[in-house]
Amino acid sequence: VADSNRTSRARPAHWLLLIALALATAVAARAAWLALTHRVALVLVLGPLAWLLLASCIAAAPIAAWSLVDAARDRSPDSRATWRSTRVVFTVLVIGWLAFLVWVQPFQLLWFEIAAGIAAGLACASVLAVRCSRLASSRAFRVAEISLISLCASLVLAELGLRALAALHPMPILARAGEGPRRTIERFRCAPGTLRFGFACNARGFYDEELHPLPAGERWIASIGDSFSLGAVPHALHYTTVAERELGIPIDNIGVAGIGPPEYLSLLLDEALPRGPSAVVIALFVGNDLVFESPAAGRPHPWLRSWLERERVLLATLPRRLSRLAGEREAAQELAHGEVLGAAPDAAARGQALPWLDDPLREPPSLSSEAFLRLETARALDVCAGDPPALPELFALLREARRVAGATPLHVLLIPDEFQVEDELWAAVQRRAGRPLERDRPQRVLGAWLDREGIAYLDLLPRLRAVTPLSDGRRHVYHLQDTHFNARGNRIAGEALAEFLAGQR
Amino acid sequence: MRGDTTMRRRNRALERFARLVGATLLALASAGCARSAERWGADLDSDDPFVRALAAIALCEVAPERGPRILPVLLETVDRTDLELQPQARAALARVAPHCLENLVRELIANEFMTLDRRAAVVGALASTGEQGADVLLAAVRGTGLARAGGLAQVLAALGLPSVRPLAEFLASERDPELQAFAARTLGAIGPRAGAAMPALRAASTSSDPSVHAAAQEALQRIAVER
Repeated sequence: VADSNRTSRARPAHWLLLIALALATAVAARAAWLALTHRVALVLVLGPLAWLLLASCIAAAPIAAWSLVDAARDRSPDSRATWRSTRVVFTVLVIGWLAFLVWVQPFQLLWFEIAAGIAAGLACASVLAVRCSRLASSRAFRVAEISLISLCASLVLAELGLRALAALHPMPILARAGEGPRRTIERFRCAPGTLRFGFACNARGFYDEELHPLPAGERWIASIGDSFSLGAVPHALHYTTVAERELGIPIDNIGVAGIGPPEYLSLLLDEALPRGPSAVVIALFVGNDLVFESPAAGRPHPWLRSWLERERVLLATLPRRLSRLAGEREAAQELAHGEVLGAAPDAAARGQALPWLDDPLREPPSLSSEAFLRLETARALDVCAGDPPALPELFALLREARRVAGATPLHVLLIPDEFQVEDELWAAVQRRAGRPLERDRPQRVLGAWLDREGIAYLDLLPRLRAVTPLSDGRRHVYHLQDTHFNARGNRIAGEALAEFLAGQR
Repeated sequence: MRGDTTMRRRNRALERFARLVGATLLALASAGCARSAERWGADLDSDDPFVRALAAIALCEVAPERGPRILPVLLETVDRTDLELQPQARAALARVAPHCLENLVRELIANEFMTLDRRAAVVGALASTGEQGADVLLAAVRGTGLARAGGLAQVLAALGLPSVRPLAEFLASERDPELQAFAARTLGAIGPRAGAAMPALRAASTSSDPSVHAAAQEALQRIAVER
């Protein structure tokens, strides 16, 4: 009677296990089919590893079928053994997920299906081992099993917890690739009233005076951008403020650090156009605005990607970001800009608190030399070795921006990367890149497209290259090892922008 | 008793199922269930760039004669860093090059926004075709004119030895002094490896056209000095 009761209690769990094993058999069989039919391509792409994968896939399917048959033949399932098998399946699948994140990147559906087939085979083999082997009842096996399942459950719960935290409490460090533009803006936008160089960000979180709807008939210009718009100089020295002074027309600076073209379109729609600007300037920083992922472009299999692409899994990205931040903190021997962002330098105090504003040669670096060169090289490889994959999407977004702007003129400001302006840095980047790079390619490609589309644009590269170098041979228009304009760079950009906008009247 | 019989029947059925799965896979493996060139060809139009790239790479092996159809996808793959299939695409390009030489040369002439990666891959693919590639390049120079195809001199020079015979023949047979000077300069750029073209260069150095004469003299000097 006791046996019969135990069996009836175990039956629902047993059915669950049977369903899981049937699914695993189907997944393993599909993987074997895919590996066999794609073997020509697999061998060309993966070399000898392809044969190992092929053998694994072919072995996985019968093993899965065998485990299914073995479980189905069990007429008196034991609830403990059934739950144990289920736990083993879960553990193997989580380990498979982690292995995929480490070794099988970037995500592609074919790789996923083959990996899933092999993981299914391994999970089924583990179930067979648990059901048939005496080793499975040993104490050592049980300890290992409990440790592993605890670890796997903790990892899954940690990822779920981080995602919940990211959803409830937007923070830049919890950003994930592929998020929607509005969510990204909320994550990176400054809190209203945040002090930057003593200047309070406005109620919308932008580094400018309050944005108020202006009386009809008054001309004003909206300038949209990323960290260059947020700026790393006192407000009075920011390029939009300089241009505003030179031009005599208000320029509203609508900028959020860490965003890209999809977010610019969102800012244009949500913040700029409803207030009826006379013209709009979109500032494109060629260093990183050509490399982005547009959610509108709809990459296939978004749910699978959200769990299987390393850049979208917080467990993978968060430790890296934290360690990089910690490393940078250690490397920063001198005072960094961030420490004076809250200071309120008036004209007199500025010389003492921020001496590099007037004399760039006295500036301490923001990033370590290694981190800065690594960043600049990665950017050069993104935009100077070839066309970034997102380029057609950038063009589509700019076309859409022009369409929604309607009669409001849309202009583009091309901001060069520092390696395009400083020759010494360019030489170092080339050495590190180890492959041929075309220094002006982004401006050449973007300029030709903007010309064809009839969108007026200002390329700052010639203006910045024309700057006379200082005593150390560098032009010093960017903060030291920081990638953003310093006061000198902002002044040149602001004057050039004012000239350009005056010519567009 | 009846329950036992049912159980036995069920177990037999399950065993048959397991055998069937195994036998089917074995049959598929032994029958060589590779995809046909048509199936791969259909994938060239997929929305997924990875599927397109994989199809192009596979087609280079199973149906390289479809070169002109495969070429645009391979060139796209060479440019894309996100797929991480660039080395494979370059190797595939070399396999398919003999079947789409004209298209490769047209790409070199017409695409002013060609990336450095793509250019290197195209030049590498042309180089792998040897003299055949040089012949097509020279035909393009003759057909398109130096104004548009002058840049091909660098490609011919980069091909090295395989360019020497076609360039020497081009120099000897061509009547347009501009094109003769082009061939002489390119042979000079190849350097000592162009030794086999010395007779054609000596003949050209006696040309009454000053530009041909100067280019041939300079090429002879470069080949002789570097030798």
